[in-house]
Amino acid sequence: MTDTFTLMRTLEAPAQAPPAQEPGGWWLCALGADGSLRGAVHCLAEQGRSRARCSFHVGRVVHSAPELGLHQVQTTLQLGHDTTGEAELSGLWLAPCSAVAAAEVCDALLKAALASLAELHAPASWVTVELPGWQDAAGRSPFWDGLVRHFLPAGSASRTQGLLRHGPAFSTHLGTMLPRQLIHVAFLSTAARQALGQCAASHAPWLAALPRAGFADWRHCRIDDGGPLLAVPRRGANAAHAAGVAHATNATNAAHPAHAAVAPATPAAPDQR
Amino acid sequence: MAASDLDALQTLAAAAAPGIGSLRNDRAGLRRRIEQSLQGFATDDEDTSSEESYLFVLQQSGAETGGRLLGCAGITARAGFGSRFYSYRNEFVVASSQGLGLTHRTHTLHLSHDLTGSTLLTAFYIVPEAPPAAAQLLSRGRLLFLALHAQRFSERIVAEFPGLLDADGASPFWDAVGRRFFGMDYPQAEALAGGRSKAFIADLMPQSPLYVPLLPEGAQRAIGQLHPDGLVPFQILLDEGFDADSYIDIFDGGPTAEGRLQALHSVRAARPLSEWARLASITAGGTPALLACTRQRDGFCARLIAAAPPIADAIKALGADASATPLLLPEAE
Repeated sequence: MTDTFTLMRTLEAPAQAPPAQEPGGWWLCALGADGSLRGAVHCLAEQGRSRARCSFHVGRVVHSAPELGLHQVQTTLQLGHDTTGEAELSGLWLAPCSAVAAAEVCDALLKAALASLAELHAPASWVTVELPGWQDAAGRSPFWDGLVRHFLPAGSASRTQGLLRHGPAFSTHLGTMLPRQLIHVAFLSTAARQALGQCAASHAPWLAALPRAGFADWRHCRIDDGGPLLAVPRRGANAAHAAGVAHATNATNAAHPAHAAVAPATPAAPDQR
Repeated sequence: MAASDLDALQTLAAAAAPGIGSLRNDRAGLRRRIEQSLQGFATDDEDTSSEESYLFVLQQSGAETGGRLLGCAGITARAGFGSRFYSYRNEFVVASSQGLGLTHRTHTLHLSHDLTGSTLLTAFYIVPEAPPAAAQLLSRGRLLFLALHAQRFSERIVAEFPGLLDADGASPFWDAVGRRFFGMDYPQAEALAGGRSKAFIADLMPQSPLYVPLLPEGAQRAIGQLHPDGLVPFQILLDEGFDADSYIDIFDGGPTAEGRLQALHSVRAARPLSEWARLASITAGGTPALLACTRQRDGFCARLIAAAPPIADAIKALGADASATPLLLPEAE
């Protein structure tokens, strides 16, 4: 059974939705027949104008000595501001509902958001979206525990406290504390490596919907919890989305996987051959 | 050191702590080192290439011991000659966030070639039963040799010391760092490299800084920590004025000592043996008080000298132009 809803564009942030990453831009809200909010997404034409936007580029370096039969592919993290100037979707929010209904709301919001961003005369080449990172049953981020906290004084505020106090800007403040040079993922704890590029279970419907809208892994992750960044070319967004929606329709008719996953950003452990 | 010392040298190498040291129980390798050393000593100053290496042996005197070898030590004229000499350099990065009101200092290790071209003290080993003065003779005799032939060497002198091993003989530092990139023990990696320079292995290590807080605690504790077998020669060099806070070995995290030749205690205090003979203050009743050496390069010899009358004998034995420096024995002795 599918739901009916309408999309509305507004400058006012919905009370239920998490804050947008940056001021400016606009919100797209999906409203049910009864006027209730079913989902929301914030659109921004150009990120990084109000604050430095930090992310880790997830890359690879090869340590190779063919004559010795040694060939090591190592995953690396490089702190940067690579998303600066790109368009962004943030503030992703979805009301509790069935998987089918969630997929419909997500698909509709993403389609509308990408269409509106594609029309703009803006410098952005990409539309990016960052998803919150994996948390354990206790609500702790293994990525934070295995990497970030080592670069903060003992007794510093926790990630949760930092987010409460600073909101999305917490990530910018955090960026000044983290290493500027390449980090070899091999030095992280097993739990932190496994959490890299993994999305929080709470955002599984979005993680499933984004590839249908043309988004793919962008080989970046969030600096506080290792959550994945996905992106789609802004100008090609409509075409990609058309194909994605067609696929989504079929998927909706069958069954939406609750935990559809994008291609992992990186291997969880170094690839040793 | 002579070619005939090979058997004795191998005995010393076999007794040295296994693992990460520059004296390996490898007969062919030891023979090669002796040959290189003989060639180094024999090469005239104007013919040196900076590739030379030198080996010294500590020989017990007295007819009853038959000149038994008690230890050995070496010099490599230029570390990493023709290639690179790798070390990790200790650095601290301070990060600060006004927004968070935080400042934090992070210990980092930077892969560095800083010490390339420095003169390297190598292959120190002395049998445990040797008296402390013998260790002084072996280690500091090299320093006098460096000072006497300074044009062959760098002003910057470095020495690597073995790092901490756990109860199983494994290196916590290698296990946390090198093993991640090789998947094997360090001796295995070295064997795989087929006797090439350490630089060959280092080329496969991460070139970016290593953030110490990300390492396991055991590895962090091992950074700059000395294997007990290295205590005697390490302390001798510290007493000489070496500093061991800046660099560590990239494989086992052991300390690397670094000093300036002309600033070393032995070098500053050295003067012609004939001058010492005129000083009464050092003739302390039969206790070895001077470390004296010949001035010539080929056939170099250093020995301990006791008191005033023997100094005259030593001048006869070592030559009128022999050089000498006071001993630096621990206060407890």
